[in-house]
Amino acid sequence: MNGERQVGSALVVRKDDGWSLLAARCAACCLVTFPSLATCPHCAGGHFDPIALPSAGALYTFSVIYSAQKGWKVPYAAGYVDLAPSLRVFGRLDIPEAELRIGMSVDLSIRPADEPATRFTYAFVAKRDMLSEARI
Amino acid sequence: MKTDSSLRDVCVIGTGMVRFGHHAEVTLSQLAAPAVLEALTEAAIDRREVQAIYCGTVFGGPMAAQRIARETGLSGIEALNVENACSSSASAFRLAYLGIAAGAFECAVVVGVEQTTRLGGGPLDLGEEDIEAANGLTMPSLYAMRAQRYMHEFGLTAADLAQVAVKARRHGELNPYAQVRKQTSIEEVMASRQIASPLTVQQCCPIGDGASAVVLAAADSRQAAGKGRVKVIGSHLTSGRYMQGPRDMTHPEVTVRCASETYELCGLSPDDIDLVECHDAFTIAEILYYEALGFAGHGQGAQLLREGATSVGGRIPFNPSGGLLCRGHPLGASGIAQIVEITRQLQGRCGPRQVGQDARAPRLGLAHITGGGIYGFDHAACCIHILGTSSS
Repeated sequence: MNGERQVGSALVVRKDDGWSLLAARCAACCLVTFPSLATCPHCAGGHFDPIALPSAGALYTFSVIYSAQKGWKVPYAAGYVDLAPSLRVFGRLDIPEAELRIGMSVDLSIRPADEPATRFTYAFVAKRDMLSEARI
Repeated sequence: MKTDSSLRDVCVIGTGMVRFGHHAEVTLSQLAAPAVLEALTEAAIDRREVQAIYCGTVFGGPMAAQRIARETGLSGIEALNVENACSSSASAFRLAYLGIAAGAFECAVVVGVEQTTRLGGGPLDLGEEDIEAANGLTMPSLYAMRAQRYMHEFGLTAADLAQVAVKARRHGELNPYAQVRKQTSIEEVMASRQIASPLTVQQCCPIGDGASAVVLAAADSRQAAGKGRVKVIGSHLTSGRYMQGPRDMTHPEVTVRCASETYELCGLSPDDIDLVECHDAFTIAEILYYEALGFAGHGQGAQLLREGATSVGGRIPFNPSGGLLCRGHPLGASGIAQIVEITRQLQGRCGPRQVGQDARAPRLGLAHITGGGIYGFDHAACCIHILGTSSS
């Protein structure tokens, strides 16, 4: 079941440890950008290699959104997730509001963007081992 | 901007405004015309003396300046349309200022206009091309996430945030041009409808339509003769710096940089400023901008609010107009509306909301407007103007 797929505007890849966003690494200075750009913002290089971002990160901040653009089912949670070592990515959070905490560990996941599930998007979920710890 | 002695002094010689609110039934140019005509009347110049009309609007459609020129008898001159997110009309003002300062022309009208009630309500459409917008980012939620992080780092409370709205409403009640003119309480703000946690609807600028205009002229021109008391002291525009990694969202990059560059270019410091109109689109924004504009240390902005320093009558009044939270925020109209307010404050024309009533009259006012939600940036644009009265 491993491999790449397009979800919305992002490319994701599935590996043995779960889903990752596919980013671009500058061939000259190794800066990682997501999504990719025509020119490296650091060294102005124009050649990039694909690189899978870590599938797990830490929640930097979040909001529960009650008023959104047309076509979005509200409320939904979203936030910025820091993926080591150098990227911050915005995404939906498929996490109950009461469990949302700044700093919590999250995993990338692929979720339906609508019902029934005709479109998919990436979203972050609470890290599995954290959930099992919480249940102990 | 580079301070250059070859640049001429430029004055604001006329101001005009339409009260912001629901004006969807008129055309864009019909909405803008009263503001332009009021500014021309105040400037007391013949319209044939105007050599350029610059317009800032975001969703107003193509050729807004020409449509407004046709409506107001200003056709056949240099006309320019400027889109730069919420900074659109401030950017148009800067271009007209530079044109006059450089000697290209003597006198220009700058108009800001927007009809956001025509956009269908709710948060602005940020476009499917932006990867964050495509994943559900809205402008309220961007500010809400800053608020959430700020509360986490600095112990800001929900009541502190609500107090920004309470203060804005106190000012807005006194401003006949404000869209929202009704006081509120901390309890009412916190109990109002959720928009993006922790921000409730009373902590968000209202959706509205509006127009604002100024006439600018070279200080030594015949158009400005006898009316050149309010001068452009500083004008600076910058864009956000692309950042894709961890960054401090409680420290608004583009405003911090724009402010420090503006002060340096003018040889001024925050201590010199007597009043500020800042981009308080959401309550948290005003606290962030107290700090980013240099009036409080990082994490200490709420203290200014608690002391009353930023209320009319306080040490450094912020948004005596009621700001975006009360005056309303028809995107393209807000930048010039701030400049109209500061000009009239410096002229001592603001009645019950006049700054500096019991002490000296205000001498220097700062207008700050930033905006544009696109991924990788704090904001797309930031524009700061400092206006001042001559010391004579």
